[in-house]
Amino acid sequence: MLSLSSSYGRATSGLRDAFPGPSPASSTGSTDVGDRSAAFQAVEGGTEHRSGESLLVAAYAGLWALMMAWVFIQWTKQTAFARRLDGLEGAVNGAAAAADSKSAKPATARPAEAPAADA
Amino acid sequence: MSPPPTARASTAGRATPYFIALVAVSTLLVFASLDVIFLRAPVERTMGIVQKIFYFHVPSAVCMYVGAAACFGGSVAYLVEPTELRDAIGRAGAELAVLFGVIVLGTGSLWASKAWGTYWTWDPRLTTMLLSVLIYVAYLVLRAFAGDGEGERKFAAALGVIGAANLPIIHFSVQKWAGQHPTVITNKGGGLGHSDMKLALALSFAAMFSVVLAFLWVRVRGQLLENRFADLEEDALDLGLGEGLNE
Repeated sequence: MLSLSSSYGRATSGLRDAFPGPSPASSTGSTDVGDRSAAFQAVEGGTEHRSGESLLVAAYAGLWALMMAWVFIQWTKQTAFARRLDGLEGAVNGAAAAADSKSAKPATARPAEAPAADA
Repeated sequence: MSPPPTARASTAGRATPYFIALVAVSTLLVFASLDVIFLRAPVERTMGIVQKIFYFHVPSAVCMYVGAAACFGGSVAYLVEPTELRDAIGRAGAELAVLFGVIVLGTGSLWASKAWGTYWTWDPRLTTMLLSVLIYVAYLVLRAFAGDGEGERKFAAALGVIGAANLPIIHFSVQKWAGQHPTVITNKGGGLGHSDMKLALALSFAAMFSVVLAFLWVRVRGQLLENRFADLEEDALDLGLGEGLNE
């Protein structure tokens, strides 16, 4: 009988009892399926209601999930920051272009005005 | 007045190799601790495999203390003489105190569900830990929604100082009041009965400590950049470059 247990040691010993491994008969070619029969039965009123392995995995996964969530929050903050930076860059570039066009206007205007002055 | 761009770049350039080294060391320590915790450290006799939660529950608590200590140190220093760096350290410390406080409460609850048969009980240590996390949550809520003026920063700094008063209470609550929370690392009994158990805990302490330092570094740097950028935005608005900002 195989008793399903969450305790690793008990579970593995239970598995070893239920499935002792290939016998010399099976290795020599015995195909009798009855030799490999196993009955699965639930434990009634067992002492372990929660699996220690699953709790350990949940705790470790939760630890890294929370830390990765923190990293993700930092990433989203940086994304918003980059957007603001683009805005500032655009404003500075726009102001620089406006300043350039202001300083360039008199230089381009003079030759156009010159013939009129001559006339 | 903010420093010239060349000075900023050179400061960042000097710090980068140290940060990369810290991340590399953290990565190595995390993998080494994984190997020892899950593959080498033996299963505990009475508690079973769930005892291995201890190897990252306790270091997470220490990381929470590191965050809270950073918040306390930054807050005290800010109240003495306000600077951007001190404010950033206080804020980053509070964030990490919340992050690792939640990890401690979460992993502890999972262990308790097996050991005590319940996820939560109003044990003195659990209650004081929850209270501490809530204080740092209040700090972050204040910083997020109350504005970023000098008065708000000083009020938050005062909260960061008061929040630290609870830390020794968490630590000594197990000894002073009757409770269920076990004490393993103590000079009155307890302890780890196998060399691989001790190695697992030591490696886990080192790994988590280096991780929290890296997180603190990243967060302080990010906060400083954000503050400097906000100053630049204000300068740009003063110069009449309002178009395109805050979009």
